[in-house]
Amino acid sequence: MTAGGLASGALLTAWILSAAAALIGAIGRTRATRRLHHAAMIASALAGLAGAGVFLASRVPPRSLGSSSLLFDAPLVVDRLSAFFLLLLHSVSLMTAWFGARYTEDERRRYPLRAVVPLTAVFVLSMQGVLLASGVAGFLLFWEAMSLSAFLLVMADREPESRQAALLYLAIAQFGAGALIVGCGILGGGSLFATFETLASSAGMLSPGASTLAMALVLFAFTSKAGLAPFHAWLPEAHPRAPSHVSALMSGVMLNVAIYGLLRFTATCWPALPAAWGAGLLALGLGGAAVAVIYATIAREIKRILAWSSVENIGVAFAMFGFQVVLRRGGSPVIADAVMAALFLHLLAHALFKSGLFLGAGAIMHAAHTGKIEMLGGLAARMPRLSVAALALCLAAAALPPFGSFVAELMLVQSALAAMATRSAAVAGAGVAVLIGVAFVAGLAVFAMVRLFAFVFLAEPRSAGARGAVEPPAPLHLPVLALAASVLALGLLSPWLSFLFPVPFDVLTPTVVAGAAFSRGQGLLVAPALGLAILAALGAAWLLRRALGPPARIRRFHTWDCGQPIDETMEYTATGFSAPVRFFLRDIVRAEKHLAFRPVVPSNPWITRGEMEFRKVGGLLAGLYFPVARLIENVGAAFKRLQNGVIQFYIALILATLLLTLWVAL
Amino acid sequence: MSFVRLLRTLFLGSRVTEPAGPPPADSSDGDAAGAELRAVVADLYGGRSLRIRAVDAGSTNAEELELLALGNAYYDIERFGLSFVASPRHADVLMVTGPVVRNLERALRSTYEAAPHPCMVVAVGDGACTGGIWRGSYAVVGAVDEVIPVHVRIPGDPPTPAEILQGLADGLRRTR
Repeated sequence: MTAGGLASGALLTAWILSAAAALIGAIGRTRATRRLHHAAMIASALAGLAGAGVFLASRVPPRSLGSSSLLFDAPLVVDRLSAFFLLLLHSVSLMTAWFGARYTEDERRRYPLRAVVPLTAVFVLSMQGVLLASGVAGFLLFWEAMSLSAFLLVMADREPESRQAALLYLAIAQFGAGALIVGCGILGGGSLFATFETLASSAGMLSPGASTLAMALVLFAFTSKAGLAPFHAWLPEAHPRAPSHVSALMSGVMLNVAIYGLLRFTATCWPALPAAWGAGLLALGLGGAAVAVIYATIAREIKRILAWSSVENIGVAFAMFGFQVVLRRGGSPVIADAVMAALFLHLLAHALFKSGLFLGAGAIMHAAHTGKIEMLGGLAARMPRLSVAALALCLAAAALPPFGSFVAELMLVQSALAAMATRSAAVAGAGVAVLIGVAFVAGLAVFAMVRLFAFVFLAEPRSAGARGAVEPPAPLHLPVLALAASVLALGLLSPWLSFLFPVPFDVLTPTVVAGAAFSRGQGLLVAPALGLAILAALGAAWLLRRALGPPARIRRFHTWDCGQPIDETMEYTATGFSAPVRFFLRDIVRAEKHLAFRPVVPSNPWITRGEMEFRKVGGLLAGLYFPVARLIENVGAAFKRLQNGVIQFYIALILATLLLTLWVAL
Repeated sequence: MSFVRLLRTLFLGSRVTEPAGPPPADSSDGDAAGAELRAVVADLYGGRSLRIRAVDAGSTNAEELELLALGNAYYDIERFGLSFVASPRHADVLMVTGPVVRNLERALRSTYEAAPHPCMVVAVGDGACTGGIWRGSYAVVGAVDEVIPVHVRIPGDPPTPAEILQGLADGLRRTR
């Protein structure tokens, strides 16, 4: 059996096992059938991981997995781009299936398992379908299935806030889907049943106006689903409300599937994307990332911080994409390829660390019964293994060496420096913008992640729930450890993992640009070398400590507290820690404070009861989304006046429509 | 104020200090003990100072006033290499005053444990040495040695600064 046959067989097995798991989950009622379902999901993920890995390593040409009339006769095809994203999907879904098997059983009372279990399988299945679809109709079918299953999963805990968040998500997703259908219709010349090959030719035959309109619609669809500003408002609302393993899938994989869609459509239909669009995406990406990281710094629930961090990372990803468009149009294809390689590395690292963090958040909320970081604390002493994993993942989220996200940002910064040295003004300007944006975003990201880790794990517990937390069972903390290890391995082994990427690193031919040399991946060796140096230094310090032994006589006593017992009410609060950011950026983070003092007894003005209200003002939801929603509502209300209940009016309408149709047709 | 007026005030204005006269004839008050302390401290601490942390464990402040007087220009313990510090982590000597009231028992114990060993505990005043007139009261634990180990006792209500210095010198000499 050839490598290609093995790969396609494994991927088809993964697909079939996912479908089987969905069926078992939908039909089965007992715990045994649920166990069978989880086994099928894990087997599917393993098969998919093997298939994608073999496909990428063996460099075979694109292969078909099989076709069916149910899928509009367009076969499921895997090529290097799909295989990379399938690798991403299956590695995350392996960990979420392992986590979810125990998590859903433990949270039986909160989530209706008859719905959540099969819907998760449908979600994973539809994402595989999006990645494997070779025709527009199949793509759209699985895209909608993905959106709808995610919508139902966000609502899973049946609380009113979850329902609101899910409806906001659905509204934006359906806008995007509508735009995507119209865009695909324009591109296919009126037909939605084209394959991607025929789409390439029919897109080339469009007039410039139609092409621009289709590009705008398709870009809107993918940017709104990925969470690029200003279409991101659903993300921080919806991702925290879903069950934790589903949040991990949504944040880690669904956003990447949206970027896959963007890459697939731009590579197929608009290989020569104009530089203006690239610059626009770059600006939106960096601006959105900057705003998102500010909100990540001031948010107060774990999953909300992680959701804003996702918006920030997706903004950086779009900035990379826009930057490489500008570079290619500006005549620096080598640097553009380097940025594309950085983009793929960034997406893979983000998928791994973000899903790890969401799974860790689920384990923490399960153990401490709260997700508010101002009610947590002291978990490092109570959950040592999960804390180590979470520390590694927070460092990866802050893009620090030796993790994979650092390597991606390093490549981006190296490319920006090389761009600044080129002769083209547009390219150099884009390089400067990238450097400034990445510096701001990366700096605040470190702040946000340090705050997240410190307030959840360090110091003393701030609530009874945190005080009573214990190490979660193995299936809840081992996947988090595995994901942390994988991000670390990605960072340390990145120069040798070039074969996994659709744009191989060794495409970087020797180019000396003002002293910055991009030779065959050598620029990359800095990152793992730096990472190994850090790990070696830490290891040496530990060994030295063990060899020298502890000091001769240690007398342990609690911290000097000036005689007053120290308790958790004296600790830093997360709101206080981020107050400098809130203060200096108060024009972006607009908040208003109302203080009211009312006398307790009317005759005594000196004893008062004080009330403080401190809340965020404005924002994108109020400024952009709600006015649009009100406009649509008013238009609908205006049309409602047509429903006046007079039957003669309806008959007249039918007659008018008939006459119009006959006139147009004849 | 204008610059000219400032110069006039500085150089032509009335004096507000008077020249220091000759030192008092019988300034033996505490000087003998002080000289002994200087020698002992230099010997024990290799030319460095002895740091004292005063802990008020519920005194009438009489002993505190005497301890405060040790720092003024007359007794001037800094010339003997003694000084008061704020943190028990920096202390070589703990001077505890007052019978230990119940609300301060935990704080006194924390202070003693926070001070790095070797730390000499000096009970200053009758209340600290024996519990004084408050011994047996419901609000008071008693003498300091019922809470932490005591190495030197300086009785008196309150002991004069010279007596405190003498007691400290005797204690240091014994532990040398």
